[in-house]
Amino acid sequence: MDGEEAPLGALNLAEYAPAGARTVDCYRRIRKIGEGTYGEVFEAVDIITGERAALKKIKLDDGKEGFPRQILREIKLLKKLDHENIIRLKEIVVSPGSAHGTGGSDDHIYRGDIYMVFEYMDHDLKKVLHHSAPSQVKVYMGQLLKGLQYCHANNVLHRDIKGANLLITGGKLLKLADFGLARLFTRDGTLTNHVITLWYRPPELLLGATSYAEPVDIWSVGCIFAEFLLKKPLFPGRTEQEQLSKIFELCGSPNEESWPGVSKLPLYKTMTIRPATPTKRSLRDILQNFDCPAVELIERMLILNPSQRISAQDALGAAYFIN
Amino acid sequence: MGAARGEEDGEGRCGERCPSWYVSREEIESGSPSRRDGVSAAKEAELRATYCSFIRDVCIRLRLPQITMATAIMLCHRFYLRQSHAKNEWQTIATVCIFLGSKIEDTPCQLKHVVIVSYETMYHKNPDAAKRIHQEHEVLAKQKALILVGETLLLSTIRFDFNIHHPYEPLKLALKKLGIAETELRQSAMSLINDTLPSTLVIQFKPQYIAAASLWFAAKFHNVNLSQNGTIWWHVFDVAPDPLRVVVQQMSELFEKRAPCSVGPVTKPVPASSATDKHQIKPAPTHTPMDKHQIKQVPAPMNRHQIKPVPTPTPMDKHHIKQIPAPAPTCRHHIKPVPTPIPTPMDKQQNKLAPTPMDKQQNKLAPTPMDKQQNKPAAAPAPTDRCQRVSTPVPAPRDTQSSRRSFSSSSNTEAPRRVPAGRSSNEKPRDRSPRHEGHWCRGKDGENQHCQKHRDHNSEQRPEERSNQRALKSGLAYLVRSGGPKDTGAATEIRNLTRRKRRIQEVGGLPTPVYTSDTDAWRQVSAVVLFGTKGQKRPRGDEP
Repeated sequence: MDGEEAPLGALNLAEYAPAGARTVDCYRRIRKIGEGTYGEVFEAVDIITGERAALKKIKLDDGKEGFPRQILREIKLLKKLDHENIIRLKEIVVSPGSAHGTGGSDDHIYRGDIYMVFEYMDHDLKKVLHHSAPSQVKVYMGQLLKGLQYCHANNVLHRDIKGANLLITGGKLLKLADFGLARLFTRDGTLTNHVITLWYRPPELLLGATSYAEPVDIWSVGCIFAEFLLKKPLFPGRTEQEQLSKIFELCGSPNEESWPGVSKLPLYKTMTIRPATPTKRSLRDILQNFDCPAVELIERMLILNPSQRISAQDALGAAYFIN
Repeated sequence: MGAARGEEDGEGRCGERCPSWYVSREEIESGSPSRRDGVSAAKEAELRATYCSFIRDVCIRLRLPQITMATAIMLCHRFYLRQSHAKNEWQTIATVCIFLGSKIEDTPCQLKHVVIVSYETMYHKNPDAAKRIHQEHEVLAKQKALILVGETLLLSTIRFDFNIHHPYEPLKLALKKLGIAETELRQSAMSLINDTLPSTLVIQFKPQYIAAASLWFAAKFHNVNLSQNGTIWWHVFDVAPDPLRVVVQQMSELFEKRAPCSVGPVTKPVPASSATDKHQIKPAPTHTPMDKHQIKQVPAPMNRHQIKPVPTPTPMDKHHIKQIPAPAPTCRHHIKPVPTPIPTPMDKQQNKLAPTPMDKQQNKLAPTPMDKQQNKPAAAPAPTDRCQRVSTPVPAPRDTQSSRRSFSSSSNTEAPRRVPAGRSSNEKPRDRSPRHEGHWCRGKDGENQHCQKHRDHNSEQRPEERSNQRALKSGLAYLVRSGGPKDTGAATEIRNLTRRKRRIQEVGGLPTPVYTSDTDAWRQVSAVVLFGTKGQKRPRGDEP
C-alpha cells in the first residue's frame, strides 16, 4: 500500500505543522504603538508566558510578488545577530490562510497575515535625545557603539541610524532596531545610494557614492552624539542640496587634498557650490562649551573623508569612554 | 523530534519549538508526516526524486543559478519533513520553493514567470493543457494565487529560517586551505555534491560533512593524496570522523544503487566491443578503482523502472555498446544484484549493514580492501562479458556525461597520444550544436521516422539518444501527476517541436549566473558539462 498523493492544488492550510511557526492567536494585542516601515506595530502579551512583545505586521503587497524581499533580508540578518544592544527577533507568527474556492474571485483568497515578534522596548531615543544628562549620554553612546561594532564585525551595515530606530527599555538599556535598510556588504560591492534618513546621511552618499562601508553608519552616530549635546539636530536639511550645504558650512568644503577621490563622485559637480574661498571647518566652535573628549570624538566621527572617519571599535577605546 | 547530530546548530536556544533541520535516517523513514497518512517510504522516496527532478528542470529553464536550485530543493525537503505528501501536492509546493528560493538567494524571479514555466514543465507531454496558462487569463490568475497561499504555508512550515547553507562553500574553503588547485578534482567533488541533493543525505548531515565526503570520493577517483604535508585533511572541514564515515558509507550506497547489472535487453556480443573490452583489461591495477567509480555513476534504479516499458531498438543498442564499453573487472561485482526495481534499494541497504570489507574500508578511509575486491574478477569467465554488455546500453544523459568524463580520464592516462591536442580543440565547437539538438529533440521520442533519420548520422546519434532517455525519464516521472498525457498526433508533435525550438532560442546558450557570488559555483557546473561533452568524443578513437 503506497497511500494516496495529494490531489492537484491541495495545500494543508487547516493544520499547520506542529513544529512550524506559531499563530498570532498566541498573543493578545494590547494597543497600537506605531507605524513601522512595512506595517503597523502593536504592543502584545504572550498568552502563555505573559511576556510582553512588539508585533510588527508585515504589509504584503497583495497580488504582486508575495513575501517582500526586504523583509526576508531583514529576517536573515536579524537571525544572524545576537547581541545585548541589538533588538532581538523572538519569532514570526502567522494567521493561517484559506484555500481559494471554485470560481471565486481574488478577493476570496486570503494568504494570511505575518507578524515579526520583537522583544518589547519602552520607547525610542527621540523621547530622551534632548533631555539626557551627560552621564546618561555616555552610557547610551557606549551601548550604541557596541551594538554597531558587532554589526560591522559581522559585515552588516545598518544604514538607518536615527533616534526613532534606537530603542530604550528600563530607562538605561539601548538597542539598535529596525534593520529594514540593513545590508550585508563586501569591500568591493555596489550598494544602493538612497539610504539613511536625510539629517543623518553622510556626505559621500549625498554626493552619489555607491561603494561605501562602515563609515556611513559612523557619520550617523556622530550626528546623534552631537544632537545629545546640542539638544537639537546638527544638520537639519530640508533637501539634499541644503543638507550638503549645512554639512560643508560646519565641516568645511571638501577638495582633492583633504578628500582624495571626492571630485570623481557622481554628484560632486552638480551638488557642490563653489564659494569664493573654501569654507573652513568650524564644527568645534559650536561645541566649545562641552566636554573636550566628547567634542574630540565627535570631530573624528564627522570627518568628511570616510576613509579617515573613526571606526566603532576605535571609538569605544577613545578618551571619552576611558574616564 | 530528530536526533541531534554533532554540535548544536545554534537553534538550541529556541528549545522544543525549534528542532534541528537535521534528522536521523530512521526518523526520515518511519517518522515522516507522510507515513502517518499512509504514504509508504518507497512512495515518498519516489516523490522526492520527482520533485527534485522537477525543480531542476524548472530552474534550468528559468536560468536560475545552481545555488538557487539547491536552496529550492532544500526548502522542499524541509517542507516535507514537517508536512505530509497526502495533504500537500508536490507540484504546487515545488513551485513555491522555486519562487521563495529565488528570493532567498537574491536571484528574484517574477511570480508570473515561475508559474508559467512551472505549469509548462508539468504539462510538457500535453501541449493543449500547457497552452491554457497562456490562453486563459483565469488559469494564470488562479495559479498565481495558489502559489501565494502556498508561500505563506511554506514560510510558516520552515519557521522563516532563511539561512540555508550548502556544501559548495565548505568545499571551496577546504580546497583553498589544503592547497589543492586541480580543476578536475574540484569539478568531481562538486558533481558529487549535486548528486546528493535529491537524497536524504542533505537532511541527515550538515553541509560540511557532505563536502568532506564528496572530496574524499573525488580524491580516490583521481588518485590524489589529501593528507599531504602531514595535515589531517578532514580537520579542515571541522568534522568528526565517526559521522563522516557514516556519510561516506551512505554515499557509497547511493552510488551502488545506481549500478544494477541487468538493465535493458540482452544483446549479442559485438566483435569491436569485445576488442575494446580486452584492451580495457590490460590497464595496470592502479586504474581499477577508477573503473569501479565509473560503474558507480551508472543511472539510478528509477531509470531502470522507467526504461523497461520502452525497450530501445537493437541498432541503437549496438551504438550504445560501441560508445560506452565497460571494463571486465567490474562485472563480477555487478552480477550479484538481482533486478527488482522496488526492493533493490532496501536489499542493498541491508547488505551494506554487514560487509566486512566495507567496514574495513570505512575505518581506514583507504582503498586497499576495494583493490582486493577488484583484483579477484580479473580472471573472469566468458559469461561475465555478456553481463558487462547488458549493463552498458542504459546510462542516463546526465550520468553518461559523468561516466564518459571518467572514461576520458582513464583514456588520457592510458594513451594520451591517441587524442591529438588539435583534434581535441577542434571538437569543442562542434559539440555545442549537438547539445542544442538534444534539447530540440526532447519531444521526439514517439516518432520512429525521426529516430531512424537521426540514426543515419553518427554525429547526431548521441544527442538523439540522450534526448530520448531524458524524455522517457521526464515523461514517466510526470505521467501520474498530470493525470496521464494524451496521445498526440503528428501535427501536434510538430507544433510541440516548434515551440521547443523557440524556447531554446529564447533561452540562448547555457544558463549564465545572475550574481557574482554564484559565479564560481556555476562555472564549475558549466565546466563539468563542457568536459563531459568533450569526453564523449574520445571513445570513438578506440574503434579504428
